[in-house]
Amino acid sequence: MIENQVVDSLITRAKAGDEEAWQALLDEHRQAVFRLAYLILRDQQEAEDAAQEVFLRAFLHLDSFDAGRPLRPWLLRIAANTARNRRRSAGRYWRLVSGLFTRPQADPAHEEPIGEAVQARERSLLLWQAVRTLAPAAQEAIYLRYFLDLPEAETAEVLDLPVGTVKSRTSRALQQLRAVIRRDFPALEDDFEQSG
Amino acid sequence: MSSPVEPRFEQWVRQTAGAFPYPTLPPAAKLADRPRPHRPGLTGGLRLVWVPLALLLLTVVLLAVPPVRATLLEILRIGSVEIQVGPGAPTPASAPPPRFELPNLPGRMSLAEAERWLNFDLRLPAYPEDLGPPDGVYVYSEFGQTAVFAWQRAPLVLQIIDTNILVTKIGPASYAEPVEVGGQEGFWVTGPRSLQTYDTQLGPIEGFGRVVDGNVLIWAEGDLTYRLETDRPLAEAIRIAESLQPAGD
Repeated sequence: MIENQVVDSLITRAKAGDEEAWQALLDEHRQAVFRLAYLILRDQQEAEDAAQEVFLRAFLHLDSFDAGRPLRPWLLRIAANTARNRRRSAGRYWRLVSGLFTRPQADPAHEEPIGEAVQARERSLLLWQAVRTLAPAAQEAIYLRYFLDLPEAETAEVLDLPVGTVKSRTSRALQQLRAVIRRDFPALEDDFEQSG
Repeated sequence: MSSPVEPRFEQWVRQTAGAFPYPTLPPAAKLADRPRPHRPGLTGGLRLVWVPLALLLLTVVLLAVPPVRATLLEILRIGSVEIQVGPGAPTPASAPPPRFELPNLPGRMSLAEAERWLNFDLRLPAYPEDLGPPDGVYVYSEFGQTAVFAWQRAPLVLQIIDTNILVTKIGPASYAEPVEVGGQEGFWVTGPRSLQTYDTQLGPIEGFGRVVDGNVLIWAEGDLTYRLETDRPLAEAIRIAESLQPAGD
């Protein structure tokens, strides 16, 4: 992680139009931006495009950024807004609702042994499905707090909400998620019960 | 006021989410260099106009090139569905039998809720006689209205589309046959197609590539386009399609 003083210096240089300084800042945060975009958009290519858009927007609006504040929540706020806007596209919509008959590709090279890592990955994907049944605001709270593992204060900055509101929103989202898992995701429910 | 969530559940969510398989992070140059901003201002309605116009333009340009014209696909249109049929003979499925999965997608609701929600009169199949009510009902209202009804045991999926356009790209091994459904023109589309539902269930994850494999009967009645997805033969699909009756009858 880059030291705070270095970050300040990089931001000052980036504000003056130094692209190398901007690139150094992006390297620090691009993974978080890309991951949040991917969780919201559910598509790698769209997430890549959204991340590009985020960094362009951020660079163009760098003058409005308060250099006394951390950069990551500001970028993630732009990322959440950008991904939300992109989610409303006809192409993505149809890919979600078309073709419920599917089958795995018959390619033995793709087969993996069932190990704990694979099971953990599949559980996390099921959890993602369960989260996606919640309202968009609840989804974002869970993505930020638990998928990206942001602290409450930083989540509050990203969502532009008081910390208390983030606490209550996250708590409500977890309650809703708990109910969805009980009702529709028996495999996750079993895993949770066995985790105790 | 509802009870607080158990701390154990919160911890389990954090731990489970921590194993999430994000796609590989692209190289920095791809993210930061030559940014391609999303075109603002193309709202849903405008996009629905823009998409077919762009497709038309692309088709005209491609048809002007002789080698492309020789191999280019046929474009069929029925109701709100545009089908692009690629070159190549239809290939029978040789892989394991298709699996039907009922997704947990947003928009899921009860049949009664869907009837209240939809702007059009809902009709569902009365055949097969033992079909019963659908196991999954999904309604989407972002681009006109679309309702999706899924019967897991049959298995059968009926989509009713009240919107301007649906583009279905079809791979080279597919085939679309003109048919008649209750006196209306339609198409029977068969064969595996490789692009539609790649991420319906699990998202685009390496090692979990999928192909769409159900046969699809597409026809239009008035402003509505119907899309019946099934693994049954054509005659059965038409019989199901022609059995549609007002829901609740």
